[in-house]
Amino acid sequence: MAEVKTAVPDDMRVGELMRPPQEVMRLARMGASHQTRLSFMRAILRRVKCEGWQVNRTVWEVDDNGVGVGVYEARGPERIYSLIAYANDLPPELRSDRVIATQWDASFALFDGVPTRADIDRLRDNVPKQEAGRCASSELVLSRANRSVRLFDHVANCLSQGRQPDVAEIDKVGYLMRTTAVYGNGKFGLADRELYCMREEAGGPFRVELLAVWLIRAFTVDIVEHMAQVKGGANAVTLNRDIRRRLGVGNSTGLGMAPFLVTHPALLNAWMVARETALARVRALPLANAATTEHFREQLQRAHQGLARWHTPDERQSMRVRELAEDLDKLKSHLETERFDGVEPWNELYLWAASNLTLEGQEAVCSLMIEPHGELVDDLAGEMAADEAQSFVIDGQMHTASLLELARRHFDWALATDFASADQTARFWYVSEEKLEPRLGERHEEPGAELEQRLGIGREVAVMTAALEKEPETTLLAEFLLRHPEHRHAARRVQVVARLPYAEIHDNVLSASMMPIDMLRCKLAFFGASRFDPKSDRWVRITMYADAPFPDEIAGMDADDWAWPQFDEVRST
Amino acid sequence: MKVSINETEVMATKAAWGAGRPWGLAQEAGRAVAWLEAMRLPGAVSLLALLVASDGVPCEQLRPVATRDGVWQGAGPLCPVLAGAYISDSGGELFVSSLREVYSPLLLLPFASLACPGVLVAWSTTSIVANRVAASVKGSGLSDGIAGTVLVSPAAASEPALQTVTHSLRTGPVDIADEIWEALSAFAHRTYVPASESSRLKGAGAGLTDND
Repeated sequence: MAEVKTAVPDDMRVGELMRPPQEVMRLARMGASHQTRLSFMRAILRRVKCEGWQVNRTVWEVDDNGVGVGVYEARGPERIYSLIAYANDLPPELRSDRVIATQWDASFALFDGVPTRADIDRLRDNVPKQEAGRCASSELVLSRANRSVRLFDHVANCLSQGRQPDVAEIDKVGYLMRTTAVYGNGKFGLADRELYCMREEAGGPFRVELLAVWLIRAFTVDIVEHMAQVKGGANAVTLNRDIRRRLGVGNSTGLGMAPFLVTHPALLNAWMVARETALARVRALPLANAATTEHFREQLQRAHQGLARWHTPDERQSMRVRELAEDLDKLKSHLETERFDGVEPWNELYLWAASNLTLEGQEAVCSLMIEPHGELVDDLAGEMAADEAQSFVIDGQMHTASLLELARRHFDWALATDFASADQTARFWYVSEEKLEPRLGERHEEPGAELEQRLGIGREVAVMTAALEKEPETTLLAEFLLRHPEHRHAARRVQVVARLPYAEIHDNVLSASMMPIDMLRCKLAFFGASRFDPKSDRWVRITMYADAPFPDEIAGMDADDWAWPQFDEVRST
Repeated sequence: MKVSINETEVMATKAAWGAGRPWGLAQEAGRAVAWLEAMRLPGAVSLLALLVASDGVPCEQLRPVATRDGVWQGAGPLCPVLAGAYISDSGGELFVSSLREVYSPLLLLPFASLACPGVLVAWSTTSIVANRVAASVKGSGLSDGIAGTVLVSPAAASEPALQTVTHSLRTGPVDIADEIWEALSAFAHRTYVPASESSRLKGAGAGLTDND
């Protein structure tokens, strides 16, 4: 009798199939990242649905000019989190996505619990000022958003006249408002993450920040319906639910976010390990069952169709979206004869993608392959938090020769880089005096390089390596660092990546050819963002929660089936 | 001013960097101050005193050069962050050290107590027994700007002194006097690059209209 193959992947095989850091930690591939079912927004909505969270708008005091406050209470099994939204009547000339803005169409705080009237009044004096105000540890998140003027006005006008907005117009933009910052973890007086990271629902990365964004999405619709009501009175209608669901929340992100992946090595490792483990588990499956392959084929169709809603005027990205469409065409043709009956059928598919598709296509296939395997991978979403402090302490009892060996093994890419060439040191990262925000300068053209942020880890390790080569092999690292504290940072990073192999980007972030948006996209894909729309090499707009259920409908819907748009096209009426 | 622990760590790190400490060492200063403040011990004011006293002095002159016989000594007063990082790097190794002349001796405490299950740090009229999450403080010299001799030695976790815990690690915001915060901000400010018209546009990569 033939041996019956089980559908459980073998741990050793999973280990063998992990893509190595040399492959996945390259900026070009990181910059082609797509959301997966482990992405944080996906994990949040799974929890909200599974635990039966209730969201209620408990305060709505907004006047005819659209100025006022709304409060949304999200009630989980143990605690309540409340979004306090301050709506503003912003003169158009003040509307800017940049961090130098001082006023916004709306500003938000996520409050820990239920705010009193005094809390709402206190925060009214601070939240609309954003960086210039102060929050307290009762607030977890601070954010603000601006309207997409053309879509907001279109939707408000249509609804006020009693008709639904044009779906094509909605799909062109994708959101009514876009956030321009979502702050957490102690910034501007907010609660430190340590205050809530032990909570089941808030311990994962960016859980409170992205819960706030989901509630902000509900506010953006409420405020447009409010304005339509003011304008149209009895003629006004509310937004059709199927049309409404196409709307996400936009986000506009610049360099402020870029250093994060470099300054949080343990966290970057945790995210990458989770995603790569998920992919390897799927690839290691000895069999593919009919339900998962059908699910995969369906999601592929939806992903392909959804590309029609990925608009970007950016030349590089629009070319990549076109290539992705071609890749998905190729994949569909390939699947016409694919029966998923080989040895490790998912691995075969992955290997086919790796040798036939662009990076955009390959990473999209990874996401699609993981999608039908929730039972196999969803536990990994709970392993994506990391405490940087735990990898902070340097082992100074190591000999310098051992550190040198680790540096050569884990930073071979850096040691092969010619940092004496102008191109490889063309950029420097700095913090601007004006807004205390990260910026990127041209080292050979602008002043300020002596104050550069220590983000060029590869170059620092190369410099340390040269110094280590001059040391006797048996020098203790502690002694070396006492004499050379300038190498302390590089020594720490080498020891960290020796324990956490996915902690470092394997590219030179000082190079003339480095694209900061690659770092932004990688981080935002882990958040669960879609429709990346670069505005330059260091500035990107995205959409969050598009096609996801709204708070008032999630109880009756599948909370986890929104990564790619549904087939049932809604026509404008 | 009420600040979060995270803000405290970021501020201390930037201030130490602004005062000329290398980045990796400045990170140690940030972590040390954050731990002290979370213990409700005067970390920020200790760091400020250190940075003012050693402003412009190269690390070479602030580090212990002799560690024979457990006596650590430098060309002048020692930087407690440099000496503390050395203690931290030495891990859980038992040490009995006597340090001659140390700026802001309180700053040695986090390094010692995070490296070793129980420690005694003592100078002139002050002695502290601590572990990672609690401390028993005796004496009034917590904010001393300089100490003649500081003793750092292991102490059993069951040390009787720890039975009378005076300080313990707590989450939540801390109060730092406005003038201390502002003085640290002035050191941090040295790390910022002034804007120019071109850097304003190029550096952020924007410059397009957002009114769409």
